Amino acid sequence: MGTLFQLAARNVLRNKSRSGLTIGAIAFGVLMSLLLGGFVSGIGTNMVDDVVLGKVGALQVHLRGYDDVKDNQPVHLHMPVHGEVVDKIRAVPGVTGVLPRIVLAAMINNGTSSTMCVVVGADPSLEPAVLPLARRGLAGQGNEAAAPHRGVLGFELAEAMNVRAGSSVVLQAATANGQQNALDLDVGGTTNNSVPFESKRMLTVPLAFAQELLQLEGRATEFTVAVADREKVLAIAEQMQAALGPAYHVQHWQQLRPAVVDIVTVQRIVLFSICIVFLAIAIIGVMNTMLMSVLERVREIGTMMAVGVRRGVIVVLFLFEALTLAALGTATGCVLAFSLLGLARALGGIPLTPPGSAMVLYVQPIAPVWLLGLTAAAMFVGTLGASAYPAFRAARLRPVEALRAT
Amino acid sequence: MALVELVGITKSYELGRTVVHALNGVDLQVERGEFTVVMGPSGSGKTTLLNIIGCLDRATAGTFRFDGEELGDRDFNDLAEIRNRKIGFIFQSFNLIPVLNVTENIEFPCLIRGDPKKALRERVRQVAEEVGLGKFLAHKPDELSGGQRQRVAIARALVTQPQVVLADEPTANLDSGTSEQIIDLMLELNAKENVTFLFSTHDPRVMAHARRVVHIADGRLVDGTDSGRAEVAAVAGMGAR
Repeated sequence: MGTLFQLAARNVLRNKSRSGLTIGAIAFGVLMSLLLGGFVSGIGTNMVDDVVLGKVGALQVHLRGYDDVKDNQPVHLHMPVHGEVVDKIRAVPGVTGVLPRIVLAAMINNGTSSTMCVVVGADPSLEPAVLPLARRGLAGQGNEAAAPHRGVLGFELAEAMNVRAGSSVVLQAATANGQQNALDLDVGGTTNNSVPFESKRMLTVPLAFAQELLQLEGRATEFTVAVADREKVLAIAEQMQAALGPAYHVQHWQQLRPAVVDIVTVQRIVLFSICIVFLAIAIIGVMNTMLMSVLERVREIGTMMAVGVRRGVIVVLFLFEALTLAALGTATGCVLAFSLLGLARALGGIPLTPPGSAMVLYVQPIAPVWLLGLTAAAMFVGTLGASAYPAFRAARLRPVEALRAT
Repeated sequence: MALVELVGITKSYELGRTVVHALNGVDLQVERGEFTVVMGPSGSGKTTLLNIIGCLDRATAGTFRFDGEELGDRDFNDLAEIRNRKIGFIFQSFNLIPVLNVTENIEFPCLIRGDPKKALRERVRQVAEEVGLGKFLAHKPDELSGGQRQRVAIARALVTQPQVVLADEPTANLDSGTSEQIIDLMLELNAKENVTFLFSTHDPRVMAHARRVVHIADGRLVDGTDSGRAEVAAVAGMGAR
């Protein structure tokens, strides 16, 4: 086997320019697959991070029934901020933080005009541990427990209401009892958001402000939960649901934002399709090279048969040659891809503006290990498949005819 | 028992609608240790005859025995094994593997059958010395002259210690001086090592060295001369070729 492998390696080096081109084609296929994969994977990670670390958390807990009417921001389904429920949530293994929040619908008024908005009240002291990206895109001052009457408006909402940091607005909402209540709110800053709706219609306030507005002291409508390992979120959700019982409803981020899951899935499908095209081009290159190699070496194959080489050995020789090309091409492609992806990360990521948003996100492109494994496996299997025909064609030659070839 | 025994061997090819009869009922016996030349003009069937004896091709009809075994129904891999262990080949165009050096070309038939490399290297060196290539072991074929390349081919044929060496016009691509040297080398190996040689040529100069000459024309053996044996197959008649 060692002799055959040595012979195969020398045959690859025999026609350096052709082998170089083939290795280049394979490397290009691998490079493009990994670059695209790294980019798409980076976008996916960015989107999931934005949701899990900036918006909804890994898990949310509501009272049963909240989910049926959540589009109306119900405030009558509230829970105590401290006590047994929170203790049970914290006790679930893997949970790293719990953030009580209130989400409500309100009317915002700047003194001359008003509009509907969605207000999210969260405890500013707990927020960084649960939603560390919540303040991404913030201009001005963020929410602080020490300043309960100061909030942050979505960038476009602030523009529409003609307010800026330092301005005041009035928020009016219906309490849990159905009474109307209104409070003044100082505008501390604005936030530019990757989701257009949130820039246009959302503002965040300290939890204490939301509790005061709704007359829900010591209460929250939801608990947003952070976990140590996002990959285990389904198991943690099941454990938490079991611990809390049927009166509560635990949902993980994939249930809370199914659109994100769909987008990531579609991105992967598109990525796979494009990768298949790149890999197919590379594999066709290998097939062409191997066919040329067989046609050029017919007499040599005849000589090998004459001295007693079996058909199977001829097949193995050509497959070794193809695998050598695949190994060199894949290694070259990987080195180039990881170098370029590393360079992109070192430069701070690839800037990307989500559709309809003014916010610039910096995608950190990382080729996941599974994509590397899949690309390498596809290249090796494809190369073996592509070289099988030339190899069997070589092995099927009749010695006497092969020896006659010029 | 003859080493090679052909009885009534015919070989026909179909070329489109035409049937070409390359061999028409050839009877031939080659004993161990013989140095036999198959003589004949181009297209007479010399190469076809050698190809059948070398298990590179199959006869259309007739009986072919090698070393007492009937080989007509053996499959490709069986024949490859026989070629590897019992037959050495020397070709007109040398047919060396260009990416291998002299040592590697010579040892190649032994390596593919799994001979241990260390023990093999000594035998390769000896055979290379015998054919006068001791100083060229690390050379690639394209660094050698035609005569040297043919010596490599001879060494490759001999290293497996075959029962017969088949040489198809081995001097056709060599100048007369080198041809003489190659023929002398084969005669010497025949005399010293008792290696059986069977080779084809249409070069009359070779005749002077042959111990036994078999003439072939139009796919039939037409005459036989024998330097030591009483009889050589001689079949009269002309066929289409």
